[in-house]
Amino acid sequence: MDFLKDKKLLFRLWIGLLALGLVVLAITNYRVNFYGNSRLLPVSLGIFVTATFLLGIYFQKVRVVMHGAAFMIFVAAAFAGFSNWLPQTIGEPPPFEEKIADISTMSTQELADLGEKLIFGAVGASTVKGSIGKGQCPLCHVFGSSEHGERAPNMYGLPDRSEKIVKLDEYQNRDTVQTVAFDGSGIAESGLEYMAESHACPNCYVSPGFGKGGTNDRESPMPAIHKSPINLTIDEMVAIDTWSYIREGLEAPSVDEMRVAYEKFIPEDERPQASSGADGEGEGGESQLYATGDEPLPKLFEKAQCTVCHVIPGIPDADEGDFGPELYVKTNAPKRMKDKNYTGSASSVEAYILESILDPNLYIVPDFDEDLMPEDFGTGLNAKTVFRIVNYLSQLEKGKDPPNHEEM
Amino acid sequence: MAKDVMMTIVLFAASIAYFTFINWWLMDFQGLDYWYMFRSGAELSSGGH
Amino acid sequence: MKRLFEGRMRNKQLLSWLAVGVLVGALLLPLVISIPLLAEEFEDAALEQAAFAEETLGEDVPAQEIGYDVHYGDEGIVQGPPAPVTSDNENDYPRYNFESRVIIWVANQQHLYYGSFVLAVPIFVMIIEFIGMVTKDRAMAQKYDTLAYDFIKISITAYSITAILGGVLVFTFMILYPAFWTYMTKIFHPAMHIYVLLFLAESGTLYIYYYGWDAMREGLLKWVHLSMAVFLNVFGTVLMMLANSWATFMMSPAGVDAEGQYLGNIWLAVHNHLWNPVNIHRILGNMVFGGGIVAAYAAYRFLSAKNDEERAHYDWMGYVAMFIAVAFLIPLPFAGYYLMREVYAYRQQMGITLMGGLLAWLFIIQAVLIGALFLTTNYYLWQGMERMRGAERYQKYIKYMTFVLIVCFLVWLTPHTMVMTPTELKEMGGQQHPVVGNYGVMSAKNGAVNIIITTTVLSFLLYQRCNKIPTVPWARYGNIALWALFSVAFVNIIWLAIYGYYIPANVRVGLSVPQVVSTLSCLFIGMTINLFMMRGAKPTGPVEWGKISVRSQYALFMLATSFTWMMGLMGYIRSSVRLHWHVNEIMRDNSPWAFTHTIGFAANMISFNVLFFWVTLLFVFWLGSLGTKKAVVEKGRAAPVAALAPSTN
Repeated sequence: MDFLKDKKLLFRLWIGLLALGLVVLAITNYRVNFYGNSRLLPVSLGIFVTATFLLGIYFQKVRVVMHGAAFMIFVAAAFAGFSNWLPQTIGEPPPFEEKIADISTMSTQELADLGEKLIFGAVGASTVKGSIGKGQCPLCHVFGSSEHGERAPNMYGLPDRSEKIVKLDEYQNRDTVQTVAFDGSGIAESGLEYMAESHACPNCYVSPGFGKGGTNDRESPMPAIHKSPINLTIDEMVAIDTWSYIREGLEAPSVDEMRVAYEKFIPEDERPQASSGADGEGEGGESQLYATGDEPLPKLFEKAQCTVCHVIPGIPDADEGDFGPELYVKTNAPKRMKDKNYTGSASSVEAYILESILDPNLYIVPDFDEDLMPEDFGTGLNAKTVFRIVNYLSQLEKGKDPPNHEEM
Repeated sequence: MAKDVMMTIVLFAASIAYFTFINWWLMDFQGLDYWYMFRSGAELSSGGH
Repeated sequence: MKRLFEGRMRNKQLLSWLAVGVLVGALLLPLVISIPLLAEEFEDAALEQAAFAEETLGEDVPAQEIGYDVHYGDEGIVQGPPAPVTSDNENDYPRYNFESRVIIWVANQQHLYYGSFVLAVPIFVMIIEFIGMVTKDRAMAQKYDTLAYDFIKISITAYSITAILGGVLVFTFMILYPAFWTYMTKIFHPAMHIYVLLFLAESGTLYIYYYGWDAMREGLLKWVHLSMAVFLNVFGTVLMMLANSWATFMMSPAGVDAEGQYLGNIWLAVHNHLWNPVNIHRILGNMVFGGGIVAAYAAYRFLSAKNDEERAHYDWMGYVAMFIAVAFLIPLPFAGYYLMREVYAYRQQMGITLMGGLLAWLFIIQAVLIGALFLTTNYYLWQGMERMRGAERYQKYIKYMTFVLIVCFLVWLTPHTMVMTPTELKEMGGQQHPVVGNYGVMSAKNGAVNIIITTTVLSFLLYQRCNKIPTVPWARYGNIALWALFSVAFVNIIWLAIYGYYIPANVRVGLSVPQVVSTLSCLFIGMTINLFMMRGAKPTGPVEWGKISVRSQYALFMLATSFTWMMGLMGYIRSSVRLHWHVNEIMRDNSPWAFTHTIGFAANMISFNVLFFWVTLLFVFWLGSLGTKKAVVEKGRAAPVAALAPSTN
């Protein structure tokens, strides 16, 4: 072999092989890590840079091309490397929900199933403790025949009860903060209409004992569920009502009757469209997130449902919740973590808050009820929302001014 | 030489005037108050300028 | 090729008339095509009338289903099927053992890269050819003409590749996303036909334009030739706008009802909400991108040049291309702002996803890229001073400018808030770092980026005047004026950035406008003063084209790669903002790949696309260098380098 004697050529051969080996290594790394989160892909590009540069040094004819290429790969590797160094999140699509474009073609059972799904998140989930759907009803209401509602009336027996309520004197001559759903809507005249009215205008009539604290049952803590943040459409509320009838073995009124009932209490410009969730989280029907995380803090606490039960110092409109403790966490958390009844493992205020959101029953503050706080906030709140909640709450101290929420 | 000094002063003054003017004018254009920080509290409460 | 026509005067005339004939034919073609379409619309109107008449007459006729435009709200007769509801199966989403979306991503991106390139190049070929024609200095005119010819030569192979990639893309769509593709074609088939015919017309014009370059060199024929360039660009722009309408339809659909049923008016579907903002943004972006590629080509030819003439020619070519790229880079953010504003106007949620939600980190990456682009541009200009005698006077300022640029770059890319663990949070004492956090807020960032741009303007100003000594009587005061302008502008921008910390957010946002106008004032007033000052200036020596460092050419590579990368990134952002929709709010993506990848994965894909593009482009360059090596040398010799002052560009 003649060329073996040519040392220069031999040397080049070795360099060529080395570069080839590097290229193979780079491609292997690329293949192996293509979907991994190991962030090793730019390493391949780095190896490519070396290989191309080597080739460029020893093969004079292609020197310019190789060095130019090596430089370009280096630039691309730098950008990719920087991007891989940043925090990584995958944006999952929201669970697929069929559009309920036309509920009048559904069978009653299908409609009831849809209703159950809206209340509890899935068909058959009404018997599973802690399940909650888009309507978020189980956050406050209970549904079992023997359960006792703490925050809101038990929904069992509602169809029958409604018929009776509309005939009550207290109902017909009410003295609440808002006595009619809108000017000219009138009040309910049947059980069916009562159910529609209480969804559209919770303030119109407050079940005795369930009013907002200190309002003497003149104001309801429940939001109007056709409005933000719950945004159920009329058809969805019809489905929920259908379920309420069907599950008690009653015959549900027709879809048209129920629609008319809702239209009586929801003026045309307030009716949410059966949109496809275009307007984002919390509206339409595509998202299970409570909040996007980009809201101003007061809005964020409201959408995340915290204000329903907690007083949050410094947040306007978060001064009424009394189902849960006041959130002076910076003062209280250290004491609670030392409490003998504390079963969690947090060692900082921030960790304690996070733990309480994810697993509320690790510690029950004396005088408050167990199992009251839903356990699904961990799946319903996104990282940004939780992050901002933790950030704000961890700075709340008794006897000190709360931080300025506008800056956080 | 004196003329140089004169021109330097004039041109710098003109630049400062120009930039101050665009600051004020473009803020005003957006309905905002460029002098926000310098106004007294009384004026602020009456809605700025 | 050029020699083919030499000495055949009669052929020249024949060819040029043929060219005009083809042009007229090509222009009329779309009109001819659209006549049946117009008829179709008349048919619609007739149908509507009939329906109306029958309704008022009370006759029982099969009801025409009426739909309401999901965006414009117009009423229309339903003419197409609703958007298909797909599910994750082999019928709706046939697949290989690989992520289909990645395949379509690559096919799309490659087609777009080449497409942008071949759309951009004719625009500046047209401009350069025109400059060449009106330049009085014959040698200079010849040099411009050669440059224009060089540009179009590169794009001719790229043009075929664009067409091939277009085919690949269409087949990829049909094979991997048949349900989606069928739906799109049902709405856009008339526009797609016009697209194909326009493509034919453009090809014809391009080939005649290129091969007829020498034959149509003189007199009236040269003007005919130039007018072909105009047609070429009209065709190209319309082509791009048609393709844009499909992409923007997917983002902000119109012309269909809420179920996705086509309502019969193709114009509404084409003219959807984001169409024009994207059109403008893409035209500017293409110019930047095209300039970047030609600059890289010139750098490559410069580095592999065998003699000084070649080096001089390609140094000049690289400079001109870089200049075009940066000139269009400056208005690009404004077009981007317009696009973003329209996105917010269309769906606020979409805007939030972009700027504050899932995709927000990608804009941090964009910030890094923009910073890198400006640093590189400055570096190139400073290196470029080496080719001029007399530049020593300004060298001493470079170190200060470098310092300013680097400080601003760091401020510009300091993130405002970071995702952190509670422990990290605790260590830092809050969401924002007590010191660094101050530089991460918008007020400081705006200041930083404006200072970066103003410094770049200053660099360019110095570059322009570095081989000249002004002779106008007021030169002294001109210099003082420039000093005053720039120093007060710098102070003003910094002052506004600091002032922003002391006033409430709603007032603070307004400060960015005077900041930008301060920058633009430097650009326009500074350039104007400088231009007048340099009238009749005494040259300290010619621009010695070719006498520039090797490093400067790597700066051009850097610019080209960054542009390519940025285009990949911004295209990814534009496309992924639809999240889990094929057609936003109309047709849901139910494939297994409806999720949004991590930014790391996206960045790796972008890098892959960038490198794949450049590898194939290398092949194109290589083809371009075949057979014409001698011609370049001849032309290089013909061009007197002395006449080329940088300010003439």
